[in-house]
Amino acid sequence: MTNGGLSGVSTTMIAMTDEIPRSPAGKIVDAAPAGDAGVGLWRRLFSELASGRTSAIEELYDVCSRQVFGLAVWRTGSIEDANDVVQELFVRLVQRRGDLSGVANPRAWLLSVARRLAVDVTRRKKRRPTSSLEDCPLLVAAENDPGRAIDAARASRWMAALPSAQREAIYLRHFADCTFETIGDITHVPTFTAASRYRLGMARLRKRMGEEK
Amino acid sequence: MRDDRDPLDGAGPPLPPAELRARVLAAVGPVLAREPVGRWTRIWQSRPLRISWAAAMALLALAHVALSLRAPRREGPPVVASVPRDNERAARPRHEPELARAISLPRIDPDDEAWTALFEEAGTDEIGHRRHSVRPPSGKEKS
Repeated sequence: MTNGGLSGVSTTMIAMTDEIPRSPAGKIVDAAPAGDAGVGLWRRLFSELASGRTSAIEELYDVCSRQVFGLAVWRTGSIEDANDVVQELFVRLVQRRGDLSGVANPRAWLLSVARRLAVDVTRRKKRRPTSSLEDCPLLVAAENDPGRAIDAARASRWMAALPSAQREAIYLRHFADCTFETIGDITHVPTFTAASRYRLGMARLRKRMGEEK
Repeated sequence: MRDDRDPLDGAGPPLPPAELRARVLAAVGPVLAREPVGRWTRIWQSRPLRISWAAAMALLALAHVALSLRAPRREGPPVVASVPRDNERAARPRHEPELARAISLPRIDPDDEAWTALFEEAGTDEIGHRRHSVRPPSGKEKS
């Protein structure tokens, strides 16, 4: 997985976020094209759906379901709630299909709606995310390697201990391949804040990883 | 101790369940069969917006009632004094005797007892061939 480019991020931001990991971890679950090519595909599907080609919804599901489902899991801490979020997201998408052609960044739009739905679900059920997240696997191993599975379970626990804002910034950066500017748009915070959340979250993860070694 | 390795290396978020695709497509099917809803129609039919509008109206009504009850009531005549006309003398404020005295000057009140008494003492009529002070006689002088 690439880092999605740093277009739109200032020089100060680049200097501040020099700890950004550049590993291809996201590829293991992200089958959808990432970066600009992915955005182009999403935009084309949005336009087709807006113009009345209803079968585009299936292609759109195949392209974006992993990213929105992952975000919903990380935000709600529950597989069942994440299923509900994805279903509700696509229902709303179809309801508003007449307006989809005007969406400038379809991926950011979808992730933003998914995030909002996930937040609503969490609030509605008055669930404490940190407590439920302990039981929910936020990270799974890419291969059937017991060692990897243990590492993933441990990383999942560390991730669950993070504040939700930092957790979603890490997800959007690392697994949804979003720029910090896009993360700011999705989470309704300035770009600088989005980058700070990511950097702080990763620093905490590394610290926890070092403590347990 | 700090570890600079990527803590997310080799791991990723869980995949959506296989049955979710069928579930989502089944849910959007009836919605796809309907005409797409426009933005204004969606706003008009939105339940949260209707509830918000009703709540705002109720809040305004409550605030209006509350402020009406709390505001001091204006009773009596306006503070600005004016000389009443003859036909308005009946409405002369009785609960403000000082104000009533101030606006009913004997010079322009021919019915004032002190004023007529003054003319009677001087032996002239009210038109007066002799000039008198416009100040009404005090009680001491009167007695």
